[in-house]
Amino acid sequence: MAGFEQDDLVGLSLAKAHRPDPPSDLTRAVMARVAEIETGFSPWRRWRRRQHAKQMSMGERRVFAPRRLMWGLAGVSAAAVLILVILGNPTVGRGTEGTIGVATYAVSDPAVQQFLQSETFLKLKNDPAARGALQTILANPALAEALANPALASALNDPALRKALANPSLRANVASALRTP
Amino acid sequence: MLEQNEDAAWVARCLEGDSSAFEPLVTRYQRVVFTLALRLLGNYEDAKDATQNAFIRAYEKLDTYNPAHRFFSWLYRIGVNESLNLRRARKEHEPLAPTLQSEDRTGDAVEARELSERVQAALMGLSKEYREVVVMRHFGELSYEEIGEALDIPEKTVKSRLFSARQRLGQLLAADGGDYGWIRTG
Repeated sequence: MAGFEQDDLVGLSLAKAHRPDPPSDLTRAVMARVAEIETGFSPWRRWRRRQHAKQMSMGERRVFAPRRLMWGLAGVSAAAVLILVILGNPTVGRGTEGTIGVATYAVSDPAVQQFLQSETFLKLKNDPAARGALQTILANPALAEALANPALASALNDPALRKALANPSLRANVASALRTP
Repeated sequence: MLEQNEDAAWVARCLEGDSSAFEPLVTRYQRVVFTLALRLLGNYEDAKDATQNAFIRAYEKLDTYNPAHRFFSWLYRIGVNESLNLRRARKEHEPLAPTLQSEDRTGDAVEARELSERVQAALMGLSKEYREVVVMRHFGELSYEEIGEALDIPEKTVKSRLFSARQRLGQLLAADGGDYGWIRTG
């Protein structure tokens, strides 16, 4: 039981109240409809569902963990902009492999897929310094949450702001702030 | 925990395209979702529709399920929404049933059924907000945290709302007379 007070007679009345059986044909009706739905899924939807299943079977609980780590395109691109600000334009590493902390975001939007295939992401992914910086950001839940705010992402993507942030002194300050626990 | 892992395994199979893996989930949770719907709606046929819709909607949206949480909590939330949607749609056409209109006429003692009718009548006398938390806590056996998550309100609000709801429910049961008259002074 839910742990409510048994000596409370209101609670007792609720506990004693009859819990009726569900309709006997409910399962059959649901399963018939579910089978129809499954056949009606588009290839894209099937792919997306299979990806979700893979993530589940791989035990990547981090993907789904705290809401603040749920990264949409806004958060990812905002973080990318920040890293570009910190590191300048990272060069593509030769022979570097591995995944980036960004693997912890949820691929729920086609736009995110597009971002993943972009050159910016490729550079970030293959640059150890970029990975380090992004992991620093991911380790800071408050910052991660802030970056997931579409308004902030939009502001960070503004060319004028990016130009301002290109200032080496400001970049150093931002980098320092990000590394502060 | 074992139950949660089993649920996640079935969900994963469904997502891989094996729709038959959904059946154990329906079997496991149909009673509690149906009870939720019946208590929220007060009508057997509506509760049946809401339960059916909840499972179908859950299947469609399985790729949004977060396995860090209990499948049951997630499903329950869908069940609440489906019930409320149905109730909203019906509200314009007909009044809510004041008592439980159940087709389940087998087996149970008359006393339990009468008590059930009284409880249902009292529940239907509560506001929507109060009824939700009472039903989720006492019929769905959800934790405060899970209720908060399902209704998107803080746990603290769940506790205070539940406290007030139970007080109000006590008053309604007392007003109904019978063995509950003492609750007024108790």
